[in-house]
Amino acid sequence: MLRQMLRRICIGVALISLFFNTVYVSYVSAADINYVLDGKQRVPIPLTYKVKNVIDKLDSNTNTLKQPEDIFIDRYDNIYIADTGNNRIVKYNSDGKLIYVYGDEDEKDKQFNNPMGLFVDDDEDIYVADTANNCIAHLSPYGEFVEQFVKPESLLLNDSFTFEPTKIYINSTGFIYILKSHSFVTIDADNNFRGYVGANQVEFDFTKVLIRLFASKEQKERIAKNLPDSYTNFVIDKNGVIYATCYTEKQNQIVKLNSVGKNIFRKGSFGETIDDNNRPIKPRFIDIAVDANGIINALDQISGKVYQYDQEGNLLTVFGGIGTWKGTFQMPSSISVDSHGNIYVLDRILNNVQVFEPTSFIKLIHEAIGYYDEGEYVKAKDIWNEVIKFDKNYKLAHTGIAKVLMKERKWKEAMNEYEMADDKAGYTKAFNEYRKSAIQEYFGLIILIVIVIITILIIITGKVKNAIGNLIENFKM
Amino acid sequence: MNAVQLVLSVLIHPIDTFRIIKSRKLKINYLQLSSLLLFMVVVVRIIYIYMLHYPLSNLTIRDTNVLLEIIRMTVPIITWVVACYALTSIMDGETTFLETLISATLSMMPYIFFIIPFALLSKIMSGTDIGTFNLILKFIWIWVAMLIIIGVKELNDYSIIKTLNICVLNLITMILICAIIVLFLALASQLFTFINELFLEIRLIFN
Repeated sequence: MLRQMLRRICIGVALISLFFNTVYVSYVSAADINYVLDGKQRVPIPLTYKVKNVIDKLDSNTNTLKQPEDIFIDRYDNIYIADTGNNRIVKYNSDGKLIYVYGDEDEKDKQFNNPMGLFVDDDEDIYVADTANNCIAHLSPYGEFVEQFVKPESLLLNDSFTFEPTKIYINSTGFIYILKSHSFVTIDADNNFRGYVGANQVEFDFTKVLIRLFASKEQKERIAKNLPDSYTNFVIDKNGVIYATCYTEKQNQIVKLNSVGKNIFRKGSFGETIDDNNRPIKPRFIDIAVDANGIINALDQISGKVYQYDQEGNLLTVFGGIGTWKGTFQMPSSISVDSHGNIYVLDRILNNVQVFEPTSFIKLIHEAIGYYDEGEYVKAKDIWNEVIKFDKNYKLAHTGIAKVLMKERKWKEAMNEYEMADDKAGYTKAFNEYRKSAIQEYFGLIILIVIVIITILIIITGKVKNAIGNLIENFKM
Repeated sequence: MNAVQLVLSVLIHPIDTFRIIKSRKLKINYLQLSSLLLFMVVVVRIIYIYMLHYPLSNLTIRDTNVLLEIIRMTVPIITWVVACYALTSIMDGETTFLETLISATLSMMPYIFFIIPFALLSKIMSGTDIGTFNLILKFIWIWVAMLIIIGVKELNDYSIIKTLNICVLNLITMILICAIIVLFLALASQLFTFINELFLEIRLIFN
């Protein structure tokens, strides 16, 4: 009897476990697969970017790039590279053909020294962060020296303030923003100091407090100063919003600062803490590029991955990686994006620029996000449905459709889409609305059913109680 | 009194039910009944995971591991029974192993009986009602805990203070048992690797 029962149990359990082992999503770890993240796990998605072009050789009579640190694309899609190791700036047209070399050996009037960054304005005037010369040089499109910006005179800046501009950007009002460790220094066109923007604060760290509490004086001297996290690179969009990458270990590696320097981007951690071979790494975001539609591309130097986010901080795709084949990098140093949405990644070891072209899949996603932001919900929904035809598991598409359905007051369908997207907060919102509408519609019926169920329950429990009570009484005797 | 009546009466008159078990007048196969109850606990747990309303579940069906769920539901009960039997037999208890087993498995009755209606109820709750949800879930588990304590008290004729003492000691014993099992497994695996390597060495010599 018992053995038979055990056998049945075993069969039952085996049958149930068959159901549970059904795999809905497979996770990957290969380097050349594009993916998004589900928690910490990677969910593969169709190819989002493919290499269109590799710019690595200059003309035959000039040298190759040497440890280039920054890339900039102007509004005519000309490409400028700060060729740091060769102390010069090179300019290519949008096809990757060399147009101009600034600061080459034959031009004695202006010699750069270790230029780490550059900015090009709408008139194609070039501003070079001439780091080791402690100045910012302003050149005309033909390489003529116009002016230079040096350390501004101000009572607010003491003598220990060093002026070593690495990354610069000029906003629409003409202020020059200079990256200075944990904040941005602004100077105006007359070289006057205009203040700091977006200073990072020192975060409270309990272990550091403990160490300081018990360390001796000599030990304390050897501990690095507790400085706030420093920025690594930044861009400023048309509205004056600063997008910056930050060298922090835990969270807020990507920030979006409004005009008063407050972070208005999604709070939380970005990037991954394991690489393609499941080894632990600490992400180090080195550069950021924002295109005309507000799509944010952030470059992680350690994993060599490009993480693409929308304005709400949703991850759209991850591509790239460390490797020796096309589409991967050795040590990426800068990223930029042109008006067609092509992404340019500069590599300081391979000394080349790889141009990534968006596939139709990611173009659809960008289009849908654009339509939603403009308030054209029906069009956005149609395009999200196209995205789902490519990839059924793309969560953002389901969330996108659900948001549109919420606007259309189709709660039940929105609930389904939110469940597909695994978005509990969204599901709860849709369900609350659905429940409210259901109660409004069938209020009388619901009350009736509840009363009937409660009465039946009371009667049954009363009967069972009596029966059991009698039984126990009988048994005691 | 048959098995169905026993199982229902523990929900309504727990003290009397445990006294009836103690009187040893029942003609029920305790081993069969408790294995059935344990099986029910697992089955009910799996149904609960399936039926729970999506925004309230923190365990998705995709991530569910049946083996883990079986272990999670049965191993604590069995460890409790072993620890309780061992403890009560040295601390002037009056139960046999089977009686301890049946009292512990019977104590899971509120879970078996109410968790599926509760999962049904969750279908009209959303993420904003998570407080109510957790309250009801806690209520069920407190009921189970009360039944376990009453079972220990009535079956061994302990005072309340002694019962609570025994329960605390029992928890410590459970941890000890787990520690010993883990230690044993670790040592066994060491021994296994040692023998394995020894065998390899010998084989290499004779090759």
